[in-house]
Amino acid sequence: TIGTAEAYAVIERAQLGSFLLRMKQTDGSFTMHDDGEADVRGAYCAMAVATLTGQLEARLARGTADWLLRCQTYEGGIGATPGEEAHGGYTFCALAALVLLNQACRLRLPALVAWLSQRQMAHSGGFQGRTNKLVDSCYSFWQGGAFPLVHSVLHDLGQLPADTDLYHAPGLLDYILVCAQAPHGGLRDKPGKARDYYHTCYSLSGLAVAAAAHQLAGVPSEWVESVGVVNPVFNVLNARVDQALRHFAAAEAQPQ
Amino acid sequence: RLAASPPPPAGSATTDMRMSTLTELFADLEPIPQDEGPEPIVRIAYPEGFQTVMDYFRRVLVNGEYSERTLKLSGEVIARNAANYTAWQFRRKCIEVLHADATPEERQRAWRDELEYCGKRGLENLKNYQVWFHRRSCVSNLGDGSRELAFVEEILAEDSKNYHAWGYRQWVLARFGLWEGELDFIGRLLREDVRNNSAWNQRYFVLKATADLASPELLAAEAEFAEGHIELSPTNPSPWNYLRGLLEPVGYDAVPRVRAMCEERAAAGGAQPGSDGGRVMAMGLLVDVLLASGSREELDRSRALCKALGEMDPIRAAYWRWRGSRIGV
Repeated sequence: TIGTAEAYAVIERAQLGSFLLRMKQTDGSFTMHDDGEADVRGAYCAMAVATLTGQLEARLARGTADWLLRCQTYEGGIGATPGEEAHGGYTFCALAALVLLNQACRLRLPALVAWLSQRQMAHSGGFQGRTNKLVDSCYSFWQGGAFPLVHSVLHDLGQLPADTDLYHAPGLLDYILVCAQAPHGGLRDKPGKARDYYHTCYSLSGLAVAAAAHQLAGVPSEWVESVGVVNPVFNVLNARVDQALRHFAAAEAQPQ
Repeated sequence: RLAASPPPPAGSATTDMRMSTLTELFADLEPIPQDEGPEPIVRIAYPEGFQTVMDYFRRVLVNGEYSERTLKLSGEVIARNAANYTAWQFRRKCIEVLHADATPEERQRAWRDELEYCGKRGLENLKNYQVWFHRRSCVSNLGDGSRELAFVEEILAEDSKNYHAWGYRQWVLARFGLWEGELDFIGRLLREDVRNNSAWNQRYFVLKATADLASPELLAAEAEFAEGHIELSPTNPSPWNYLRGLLEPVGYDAVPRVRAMCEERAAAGGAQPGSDGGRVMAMGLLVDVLLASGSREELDRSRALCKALGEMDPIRAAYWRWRGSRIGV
């Protein structure tokens, strides 16, 4: 099944690595596929896949952080490409990619945190994707999940104590549990919208992130402890990330 | 027509090829069924026709056939799944191959036809990455963006914040240098909706590309522009963010009027039912303004503002607490 050595062995590691290199552009960005669009999603996918398979080397990384930094806007959030509007999905991708490149500290962090914080809706507790747009449960992960990343960067810089969240985690949980759940199971963007797998996935991902927050006043601790620990860079259970990293590190030690 | 097939999914082009026609057209080829492995799980219940089209598409991909008939086939794929990026890339390849030895006029003609096809699919699929990227390719190959701003304007009339549309518009502006008139366009959109943050973002984009963002005259004019819009809706974050974005890099003392405006609005008294008169916004910006000046009294004041904001803007209490703690550090 998935998450096993047998499953990992299905991956043609070297071919995967050369595919990623082929998608890399001279300006540091990555296209999503051959003759496809280049935006921060491409950089994030490339960095994430390369990291997990132990192939994030200089050639792949060169210039990418510089390009990603150009995508941060005057609002503090990050857009799909340089100049485009600050947007939750792209902010997550760029931030996670920069974390993997170990260069997230080069962002204008105070502006980023201010923008992220401003995206949480005062009344519903959920997140909007952009200034003046509507709340949407999927941003529970894209925006909510950006917080542990930014916490980690700030903490490493000595600018944030270890036990501090910069967003309102109980508020986010309220939105997910009260507003995003559909009557017969599954989760939705907002009340009035139909449930779908995308919103189910990202509402639950946001829930997992929020469950790992430090300040969870009003949330039962047994419930918190029952939620698996998710790695916010990959949105995969921490244990699985470690497992994959170990597997491919060993694979690298014995090239085919 | 497609008698045995269910109607095409909503949002796709009407398919124009009967399955019998398709199988005739590709009678010389053996279709390739989808390989779902030895024990398929969660098998998709494809509508009839979908599998036939895809089976032939897989074959022509493997064969590497770029021809009139395979171009037609790619249209059938796209009609059933506009997000099939392989089919879009395949179309571009077909057009290149089919016109490799054509005259420039013939090539232009082909890309114009393709742009028309792309436009129709675009209007049916407003949030599809592939359609918008395809449009860039067509327009790049044509070397003519003269009608593109009008196309985007049409899309924005339906969805004024369509992210793909705005991104594409930025590409057109930069690629063809069509800056003139853009600020007017933005002004029109803001008159329709002062909260359209995409329009505000566009304003910054245009000025960054065409003006000197450090020029005192420009900064004063833009601050006045922003303030005028704050007047219309004081709680609207867009102009506040715009002000902050413009002035933070150069320093808030570049436009002293901004601090004065923040002080006015931060003082209580502007509130109305359902609106705090921009008090929280103003206090937030004032924190930044005071921080920049750096005097002991002003740092103390900005700390006090953060404390007050923690209570007035409780969803962000932790953020304001942290900000307060960072002042003077």
